[in-house]
Amino acid sequence: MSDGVITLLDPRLGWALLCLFGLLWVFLGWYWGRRASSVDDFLLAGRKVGLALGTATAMATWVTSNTVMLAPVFALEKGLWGMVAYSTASFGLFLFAPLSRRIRTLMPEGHTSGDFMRLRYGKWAWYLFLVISMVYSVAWLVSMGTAGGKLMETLAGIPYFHGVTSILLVCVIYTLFGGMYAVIGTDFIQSAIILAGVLLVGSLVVIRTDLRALYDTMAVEQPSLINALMPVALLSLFNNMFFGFGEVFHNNVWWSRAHAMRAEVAPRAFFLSGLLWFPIPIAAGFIALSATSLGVNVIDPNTVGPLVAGQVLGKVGAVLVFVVVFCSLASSIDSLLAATSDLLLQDLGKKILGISSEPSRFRLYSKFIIILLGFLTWVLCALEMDLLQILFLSGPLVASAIWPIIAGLYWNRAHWLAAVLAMLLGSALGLWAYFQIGWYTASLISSVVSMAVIFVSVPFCRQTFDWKKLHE
Amino acid sequence: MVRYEGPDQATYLSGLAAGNYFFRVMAKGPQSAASSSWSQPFELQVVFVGTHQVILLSLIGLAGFTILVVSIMVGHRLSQREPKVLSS
Amino acid sequence: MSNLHVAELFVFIPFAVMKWMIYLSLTGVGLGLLILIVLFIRDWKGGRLW
Repeated sequence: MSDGVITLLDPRLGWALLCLFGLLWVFLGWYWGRRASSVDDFLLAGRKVGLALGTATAMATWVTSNTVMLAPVFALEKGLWGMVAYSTASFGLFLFAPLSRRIRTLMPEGHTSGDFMRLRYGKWAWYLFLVISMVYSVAWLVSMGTAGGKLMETLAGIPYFHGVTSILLVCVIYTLFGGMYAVIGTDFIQSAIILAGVLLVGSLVVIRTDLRALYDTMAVEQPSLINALMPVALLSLFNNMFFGFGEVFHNNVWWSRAHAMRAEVAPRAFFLSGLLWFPIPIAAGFIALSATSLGVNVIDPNTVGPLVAGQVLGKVGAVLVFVVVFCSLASSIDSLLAATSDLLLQDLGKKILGISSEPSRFRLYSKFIIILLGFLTWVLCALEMDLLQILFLSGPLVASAIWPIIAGLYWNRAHWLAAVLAMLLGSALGLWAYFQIGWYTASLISSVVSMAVIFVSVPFCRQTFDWKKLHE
Repeated sequence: MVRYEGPDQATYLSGLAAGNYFFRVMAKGPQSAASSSWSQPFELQVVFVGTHQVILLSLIGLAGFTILVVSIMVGHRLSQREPKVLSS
Repeated sequence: MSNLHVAELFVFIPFAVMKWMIYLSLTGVGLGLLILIVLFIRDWKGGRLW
């Protein structure tokens, strides 16, 4: 929008919503956090989470501000196929279902994805894995913080710095109070709000726009959006899918959830969460297609979703979008804070720096790390570091970890050197493709290279891995 | 064809088919009488990724995806058949 | 033939496909919400929430 900024919401209403939901999350975090009596409770919610909460937490974590904000951008840039391409990110959750079962069988007492890499492949693969995972997690965390801050500014005129500070403060406080219990509990309510909000906005847009006219306008003015053979959209389909696999398979956000759920619940919960997630990018994205037929002039594609919702639905739409985005931000930031601090604590703290694992001290450390991570994110966000680019760049990095994890979980003949080479070569060639061919090939190339390395290495691997070594 | 008329000073285009497009702008005052003449048109060329590259990469993607799914399914089946060696 | 771009092989996705894609996705989101609520009540009654 140009100089005479007209925000969709009154800033006072924006602040009121922010405070209302912020206080609600903090209260619920404190309320559920009282359940946590031991360190394992705090970090993994007692390892007994049921199907309803398990499904909701996996789904809500995967619905990030990117899903709600970027799905419309995909629709606007890549059309119908673009939305489907975005939806394929749910395949990561589907395929993590069988993996989660295997993880629970092999490592009933495990904590993090780092634990697995260390015990399965030894220290070099583990170090490399930790670097990849931290780059990705911090980029994800910071990009969500900045996206949230910018959105609060666009939607309600809340100054960027204030928006970022309040979102992060709320998430850090309730994660601190309740650990994994708070994260999973609030995730359920946030899922319900996200689903209801997306459904409401989508249905209202369908009711108020003429889909036929929308289609006809597109056919004339933006024909590529409804081209079944749009090249970039076709390519981004597989690329997105592999990015999603890499994100889900490697990140401790998902591993810690697999450990937090009841063993028999985990596979079903991940599968169901994939089903629940699949339609969301389409339902949240299609509204961007109506921009042209409604005569909405898009300047910044990143805000097309809220812009159209505000245009079609007025104040109601703006409030709904605000709430949905706030919920999706909180549900992912809290999970990342909890799971990444867990990874730092267990892997870096306990195993590399050798800090004491005496329960009361350990819990204190874990809280300290959550604060530290929150502070680091806040500083990076406050500096307006736009890490979205880094997040996309981390696509090939995480995609290179897909095969070391699959082979490590199922094959006893996957060698540590192969895992290291797969991650190194996959990342390197993926990054090369990112800059030389285009972003829409990076994750695809990385995962295929890493797959080739693992496949070639297997016949040469003489040792067989003893699965019992995964019990620590 | 008029694409946009209003106070915004920028716009975002997407979804054009391959080909060459020409755009030009005109400033308009509050009264419809006070308007400038059209600017020099500028040309926009829309080019798509080559066919062979798309087909090749899509096939690689499909192959990679299929192998991944099959590997996980086979691994899952085999690991379920393993008697509980681990619980000992 | 070698200069042929995919964009020139233009195949419109029919209107019906777009329409149903949107309708079905909204139905899917609605069903998802319903499933979550039903599961929650079931787990809550059975004491299996946590």
